[in-house]
Amino acid sequence: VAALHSEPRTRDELRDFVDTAAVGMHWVAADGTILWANPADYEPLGFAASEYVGHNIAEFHADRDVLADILRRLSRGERITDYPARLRCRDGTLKEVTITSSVLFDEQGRFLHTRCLTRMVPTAGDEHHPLGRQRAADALHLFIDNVQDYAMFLLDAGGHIETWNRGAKRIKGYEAGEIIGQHFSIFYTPEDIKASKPQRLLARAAAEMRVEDEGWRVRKDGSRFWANVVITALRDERGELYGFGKVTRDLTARRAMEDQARRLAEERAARSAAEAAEARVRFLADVGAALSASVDYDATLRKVAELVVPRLADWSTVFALDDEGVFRRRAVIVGDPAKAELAREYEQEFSPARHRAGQHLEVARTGKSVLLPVVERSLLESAAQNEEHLRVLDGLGVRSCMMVPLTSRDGVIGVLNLMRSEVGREYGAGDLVLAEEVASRAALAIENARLFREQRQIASELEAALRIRDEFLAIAGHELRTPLAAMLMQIESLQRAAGRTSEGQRLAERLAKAGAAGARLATLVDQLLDVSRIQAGSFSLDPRPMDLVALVRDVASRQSDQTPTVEIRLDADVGELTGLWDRERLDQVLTNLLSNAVKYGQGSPVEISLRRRGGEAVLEVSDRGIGISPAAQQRIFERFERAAASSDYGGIGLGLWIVRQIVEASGGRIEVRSQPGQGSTFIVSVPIGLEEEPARAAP
Amino acid sequence: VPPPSKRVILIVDDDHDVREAVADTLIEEGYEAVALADVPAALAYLRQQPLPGLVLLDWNMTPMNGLHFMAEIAKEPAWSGLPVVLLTADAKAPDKAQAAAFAGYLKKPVRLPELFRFAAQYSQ
Repeated sequence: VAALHSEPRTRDELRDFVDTAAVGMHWVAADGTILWANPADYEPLGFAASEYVGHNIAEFHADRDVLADILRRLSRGERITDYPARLRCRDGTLKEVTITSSVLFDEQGRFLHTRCLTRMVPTAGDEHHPLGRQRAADALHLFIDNVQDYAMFLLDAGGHIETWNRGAKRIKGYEAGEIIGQHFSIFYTPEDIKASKPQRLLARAAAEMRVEDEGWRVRKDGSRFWANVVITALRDERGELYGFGKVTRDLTARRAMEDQARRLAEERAARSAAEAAEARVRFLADVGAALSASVDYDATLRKVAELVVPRLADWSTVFALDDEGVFRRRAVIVGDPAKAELAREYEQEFSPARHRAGQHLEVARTGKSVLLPVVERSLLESAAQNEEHLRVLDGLGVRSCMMVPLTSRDGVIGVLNLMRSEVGREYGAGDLVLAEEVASRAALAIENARLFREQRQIASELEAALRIRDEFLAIAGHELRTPLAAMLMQIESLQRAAGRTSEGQRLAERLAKAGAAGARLATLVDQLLDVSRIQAGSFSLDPRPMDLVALVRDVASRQSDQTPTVEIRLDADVGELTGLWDRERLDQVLTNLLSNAVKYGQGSPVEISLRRRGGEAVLEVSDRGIGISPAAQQRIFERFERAAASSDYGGIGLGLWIVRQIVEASGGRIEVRSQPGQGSTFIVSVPIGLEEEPARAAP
Repeated sequence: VPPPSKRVILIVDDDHDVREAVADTLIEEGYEAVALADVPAALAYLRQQPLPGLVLLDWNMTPMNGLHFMAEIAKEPAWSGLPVVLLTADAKAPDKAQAAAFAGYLKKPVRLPELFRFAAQYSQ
């Protein structure tokens, strides 16, 4: 001992110094017996001097091999400095210390005793813990034991369970008594065990100090839970592995919640995608519906531009071919009301130069869409024709642009331009697809509107032409008829006068021929007049009670007067058949059918049959002449149609058509039965139109 | 007022060819026929000349039509028995004839037998 002063210290002074030192001191004999110790050596461990001095140092060392190593080193004469060791306290807890020691040997080299200094290694909270070190340790034990939410337990180096807490019991279902000593792989699924997962986790923890894992674990009852596991390797001062700390959390509920949240998110995403798709479909359907209702060409062009704002564009323009074949801007539609005035200005402005240049012409030429996701300022500047144009474009705002051709069967008929003004809403490929779908519907509608416009024009021209023709026919017919009637009267009168003398007979015959020709002309004029009346809808019937039998006799006798060589036979099953008919029109029907029968009958007798069948009068006119082919039977009642060649038989093919109109207007029908070469039968059925008179009772 | 001349048939029609044809035909058959172009001329004739046996009257004329003529006839008691036959192409001739107290009607184009029937009935 080095002393400042030479005066020797008293034995008592030395004792006091040693007894109050903050460092533990003891001497240990070669056999391990503690020969002497100061209170700082045994009191922190909870022992009294009598419980410590005289005992073997091995009783207080927690690690047998550590002590053995220390003794071995000291025996070899080594001095150990700050050697870490763990001492066992009286209550069984361990205390970390560092030991500095050397051996005092005598002259003969005999081991007298160790000179050992023991320093306590401060543990976190020890000094600061208000409870004091020991009670803090107790509290920690209690705390760990009572933790419910975490399974916290220790494994030995081989993976056998050494401790158990309440949380472990709650999560895994085992009681401490039945699980301590078991291998921790009991918590793993058979698949994990097969894959040696427990061993691998321990190996990783040993290598990396700590390993974390998430996965399925098995409870005592065989059910599985989703666990978060942290395994921490436990090593002693010298780095020797003596076990593992294991903390396990049950995340099943959290995982289920996460699963559900993910599922919800997925569902939401799917739903919003479906809604977006539905919105697209609905949008296109709206476009289709809106356009299909539009038949006006200019209105359709405007509507196309309107439909895309604001769903697909902040503003839009439509170019379409005008009558001169120039692509002209036809509509400018802007969603922002503040820009409406600018849009109107832009729409009305027309500079031929601008319409002869521009990217829309490129689109029109190639038929291919153009997508400009971002329109740079320089592009806008080069696209603008002049300062004024640039001012308008700037005002309307061109951030992103799509140009889509409107393509019909005949090629590109227009170009639809869609613009977005704001940053952050630029067009993408999906927008272009939608725009093209709109364009294809729009092109169809525009084409339809154009065709409709042309057709309407043609129709109205045609209508006007027809009206003029009908008016002409009506006037001409009327004007022809009057002088014709006067002429026929003169001829007939002259014929009578000539016939009175024998010298006049020849003249009378020729006048009769002139009269017949005139009568034919009158008939044709009448037919033309009838057609124009029927066409104009001014054809009407004037039904009155009349006797059909008498009319048939009248018409037959008139026909006989004109063609005395042809026999006409009447076969009626009634003497009188009164109905409500237009006498003149029925006369016309009969006259026509009878003259046809005579004309095409080749001189054969003509038969007329008249019957009453229920509420109808049925009249048949038959000849045995050339007949009508089945094909011709289909069309003889149409206008300007005739069965026979016009070179053989005169007429303009209106007679039977007029007959049919009269019969149908009377509520009846007409049909024909015929075989070529065997003659024809025309059957007319007309409703009688009068209540049948009740049969009079015989007196 | 001159005595009636029953043999005379007065024809009033604004169409020259028609009234000439009717007049020529009647003359050819032995009647006396006077053809006039309008109602005022016919009324003037009736006031100045012997009353004819029959008047054949067209319906559509200007400045006065058949109805006007009938109204004038009705005003003059001396003309009360004068037979007037309507001459028309109108399909509604029977109704018109009845409504305006015509003696009958002749449908245009006129058929000679019917014309002669009226002529024989009302004039000698």
